Amino acid sequence: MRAAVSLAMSLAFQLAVSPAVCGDRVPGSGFMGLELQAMQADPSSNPASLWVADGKTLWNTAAGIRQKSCADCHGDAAVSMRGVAARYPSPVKGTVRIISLHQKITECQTFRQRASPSEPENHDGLALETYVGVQSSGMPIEPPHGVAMDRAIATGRRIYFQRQGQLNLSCAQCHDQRAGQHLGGAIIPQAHPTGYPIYRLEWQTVGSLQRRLRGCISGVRAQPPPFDAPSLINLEVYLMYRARGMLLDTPAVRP
Amino acid sequence: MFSARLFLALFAAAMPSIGVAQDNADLGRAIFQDRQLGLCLLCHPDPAASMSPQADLAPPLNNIGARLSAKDIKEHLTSPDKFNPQTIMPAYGRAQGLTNVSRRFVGRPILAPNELDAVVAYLSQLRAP
Ligand code: HEC
Ligand code: HEC
Ligand code: HEC
Repeated sequence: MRAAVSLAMSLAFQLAVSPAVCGDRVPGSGFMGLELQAMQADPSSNPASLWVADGKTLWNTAAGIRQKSCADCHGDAAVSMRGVAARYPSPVKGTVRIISLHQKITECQTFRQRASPSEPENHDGLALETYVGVQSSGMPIEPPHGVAMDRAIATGRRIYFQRQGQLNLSCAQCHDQRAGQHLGGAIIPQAHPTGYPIYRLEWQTVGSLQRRLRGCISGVRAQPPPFDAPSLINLEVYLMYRARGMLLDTPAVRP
Repeated sequence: MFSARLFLALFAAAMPSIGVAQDNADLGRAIFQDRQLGLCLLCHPDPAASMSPQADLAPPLNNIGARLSAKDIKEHLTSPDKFNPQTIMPAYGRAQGLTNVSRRFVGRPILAPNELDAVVAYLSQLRAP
């Protein structure tokens, strides 16, 4: 068991130390210095490991009116949650409504546990999402297919190429056309959502992809949509589609 | 952001009338370098500093005063799209025709007219080939 864990850790270490470049697409870690890459790759130095550990505890803790734990229904997360984060956001079965992984987790909290759902960026919610996310680490991003997804991709792409805010800039102008260059002192990455939730040094905490997106939207002095707003979900869907086939490296560390 | 602006206003008001032009250029430099006000250093490297990493999305302006008249510099600030329709540089006096502007900034240009003039005064002094 111990040996398997340390083998998995050293494999993960090697994966992240040479960021998994996929054609012309480079994950965010490929734009970081070696020190940060090493911090991300080694669970003993990756600050997000704390969130993974908390997530594991929560996974096994009974909660809500039903006093059920996630594990009571899903068993071992390493088995039941493997690959799940690689295909979210996903349509709700039998509908065209697309929800994020965070929303899926809050659905189980609300309807399966009868507990109160984690607010966006709440510690426990992020811990659970990070723990679920880590089960897909090393797996390729594989968005589902279908009409609802196609529509979300198209809307997300439109937002991505739309100039907005007082600075009148589109996501594409930075992340497609100027990746690798410097905005102020920061290197512009390609905006691939491979590592979420991430530990960001600037935040000094773990945060979601939507928090990151809202940051970029505020950065151009545009009005950020509220968490879980359809436009943010559509952007997430487009980014996952754009990064399809790239390997997840949750939990990533960013400057 | 508000306090930076207030500081700059006080700074300008406190200056006696000797060397008014120089004061205005100094104010312009402060606006240019302020990452909440001028935002120039998001894209342009700072002609007054060599620390790295520096922005590299736009050309250095070290010699701009020798190359362009004050009038032309101002036009670059207010209508950068005249020179490059695909430019990423925002039009500094513009407040209309933009999409989804944050409530904090809606209806306001990035720089007020007097701030623009101060930046032009600063840039006009940059003559280092
Ligand atoms: C003015 C340039 C600029 C614009 C416009 C911009 N971003 Fe960013 N973005 C950045 C920079 C710089 C970073 C890295 C921040 C850091 O390292 O501190 C970043 C980070 C990101 C990341 C994190 C990537 C990772 O590796 O974790 C994503 C995702 C992202 N942006 C998406 C977007 C989206 C979507 C938009 C449009 C709504 C957008 N950005 C608009 C500059 C920009
Ligand atoms: C009472 C049983 C029950 C509990 C407790 C429960 N779930 Fe679920 N969960 C389900 C069922 C059944 C599904 C599949 C049907 C669906 O998507 O709703 C599911 C689906 C999911 C999915 C989506 C999986 C996929 O393949 O798309 C995630 C993620 C998830 N649960 C996370 C959690 C987490 C985290 C907890 C604890 C906070 C939890 N669940 C608690 C029953 C439960
Ligand atoms: C979002 C990026 C961005 C910001 C912010 C920005 N610029 Fe620019 N600027 C550019 C780019 C790119 C060019 C090159 C020409 C072009 O593509 O428009 C440029 C060109 C210029 C030029 C013309 C240079 C020449 O050699 O002809 C001047 C003058 C200028 N900028 C001044 C400023 C000042 C002053 C500020 C702040 C008040 C500023 N810029 C803010 C991106 C920016």
